[in-house]
Amino acid sequence: MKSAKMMLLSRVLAAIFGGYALTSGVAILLSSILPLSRGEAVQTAVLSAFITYTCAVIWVFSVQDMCRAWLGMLLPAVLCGGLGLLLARGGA
Amino acid sequence: MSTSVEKAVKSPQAGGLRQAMAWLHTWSGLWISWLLFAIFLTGTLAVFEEPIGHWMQPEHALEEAAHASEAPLPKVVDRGRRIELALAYMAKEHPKTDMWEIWPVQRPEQGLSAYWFQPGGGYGAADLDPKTGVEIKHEAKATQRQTIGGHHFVDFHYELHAGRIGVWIVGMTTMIMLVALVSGVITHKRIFKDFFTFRPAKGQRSWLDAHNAVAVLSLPFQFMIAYTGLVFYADDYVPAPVAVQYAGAPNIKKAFLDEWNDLGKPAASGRAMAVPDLEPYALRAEQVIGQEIRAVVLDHPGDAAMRVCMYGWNEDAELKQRISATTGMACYALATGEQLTVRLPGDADAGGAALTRMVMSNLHMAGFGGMPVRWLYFLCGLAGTAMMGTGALLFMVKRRQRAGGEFGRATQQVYRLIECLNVAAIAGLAVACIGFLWANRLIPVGIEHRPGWEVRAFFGVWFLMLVHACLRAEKRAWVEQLALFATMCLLLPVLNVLGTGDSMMAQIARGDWESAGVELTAVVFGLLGAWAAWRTHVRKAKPVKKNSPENIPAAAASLHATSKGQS
Repeated sequence: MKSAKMMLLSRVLAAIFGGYALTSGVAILLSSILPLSRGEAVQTAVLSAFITYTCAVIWVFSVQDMCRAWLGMLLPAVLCGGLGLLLARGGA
Repeated sequence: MSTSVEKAVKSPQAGGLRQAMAWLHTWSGLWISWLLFAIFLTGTLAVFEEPIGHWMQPEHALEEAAHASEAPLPKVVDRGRRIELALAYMAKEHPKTDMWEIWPVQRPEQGLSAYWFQPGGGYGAADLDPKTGVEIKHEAKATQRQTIGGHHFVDFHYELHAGRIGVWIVGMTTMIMLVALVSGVITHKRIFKDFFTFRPAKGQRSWLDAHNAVAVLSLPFQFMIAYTGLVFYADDYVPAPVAVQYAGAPNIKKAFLDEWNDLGKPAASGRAMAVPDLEPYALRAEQVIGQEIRAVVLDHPGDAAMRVCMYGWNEDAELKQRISATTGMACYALATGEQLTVRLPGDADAGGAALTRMVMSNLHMAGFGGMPVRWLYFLCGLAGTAMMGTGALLFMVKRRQRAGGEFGRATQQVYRLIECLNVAAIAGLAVACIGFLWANRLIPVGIEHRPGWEVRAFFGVWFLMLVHACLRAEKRAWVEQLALFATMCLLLPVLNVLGTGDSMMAQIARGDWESAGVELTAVVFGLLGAWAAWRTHVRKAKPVKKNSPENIPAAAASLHATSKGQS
């Protein structure tokens, strides 16, 4: 019972914080690589972020293995975010 | 019992996607349903912010009615003179400010106004006499009813009267709502068929059918209103892209906003130049954008890099035809007279993404299509409100039939708490909303901080309803609060007659459909509330007794078939 509760807590945390990290990572990547002006690309990334977040949360609650759930959030979050940072547009 | 519960807690994911989603829908839905119900009900009322505000200023409404028979104001012929007067006022009173905005319009309730950015931040404003340019000081008349008006509902539904923290709470709740919507749809594989299924007076099944029907019927609206609601503060909720792409700018947020709000704003040159006559530019702009000029915005007044932007006025008829509410705009460099930028009505300053954001905002606020769209939003909003309400009730109705032990030994206490919150969040909030309108008539006119007292009355009544819900048995609490709600709604027109002497008949006779509409709608809600109170009152026993023992297998089977896994 105890471990079931911890599993649930871990899943909720993965959904909320892991999902948010993934959302931010994807948004950073989109704002860097979309073939639009800087303002437009950032705007598009921000507006589409809630789709990413919703899908991420749904996915976390649909996989069984908690390890997969956390990895599935954090790995792409780091990859997308890192790539986005590398490709970030210069100053104005 | 405990084994089945343990299984549910251990891993709803083990039972496949639909079961996992059913679990997610039930639990994410339950914890936010009360707050979402409040956000939806007040947001729905916010659709009619203006009529409600109109009703809440009866003295003003009567004054308006007295002037209604007078001839309409003649068309502005002296706009150039008005702009000159306002420029002279600004040069004299606020010469150091960097932006002057002048509204030279002559419309009902509009005369001549000037606005500017205060050096210390914030917006300054002054109303000027259109004939002399002298500032008109508005002193609150003792007879004037200070009110927050329908704006209370707008404020509450997006920030809970709690500023930034409220914006974040509402944002997170909305995000969970999106998750609950998607998981609800996945759970519900017979989505089309179930829409045509309604089994009345069958306890839990009826609540489930009602929940499904209102949800499916208004599903596109629910997705739209939740998503577009998040858009208003999207770059606050997800600040990472702005932070990364604008890193290095002295003010990151401002750099981002400037890029899609204010393209091509010139930098001040430091060389002086007198402000020229602006009327010729207003005429030029009107030619280009095809709208009457509403606002004249002057950047860097007195500097050689001065720029003036002329903003048009959206006529009601135009907004019946397009969803984007941006007005036309044309900007001119005053040193050369060159036309810098033109935005036609409905377009965005920047590209498609900026336009998308504007359209989404306007979609959320029903800023198009006039009254028919407002009523459509009102009805869809009520459907959404009903979806939250039936969902919250369904949770308890199910558990009364087949109690789970989700909360261990505290289960019964938690169920009792949920019952109290259901009553207070649904019936109690309804009482608080109509109580807010009562407060508008009952709080003495002329009292200090009157709008604040109206809001306090709203929260006070709501709190009393919570206390009442906790003290009374559940069924009695429902009946009493619904009856109170019905009584207050039905007596609202009477209260108005006693308070201001204005009756619904008089409102209709003088064509004041805004005031009459508020009272008529209250009466309709009163009748619905009375019906609900009566239905609850005559309900013989709790379903758990009615359905025992012979009906239990059937009920359990239907539970299995229609909401498999929603434990």
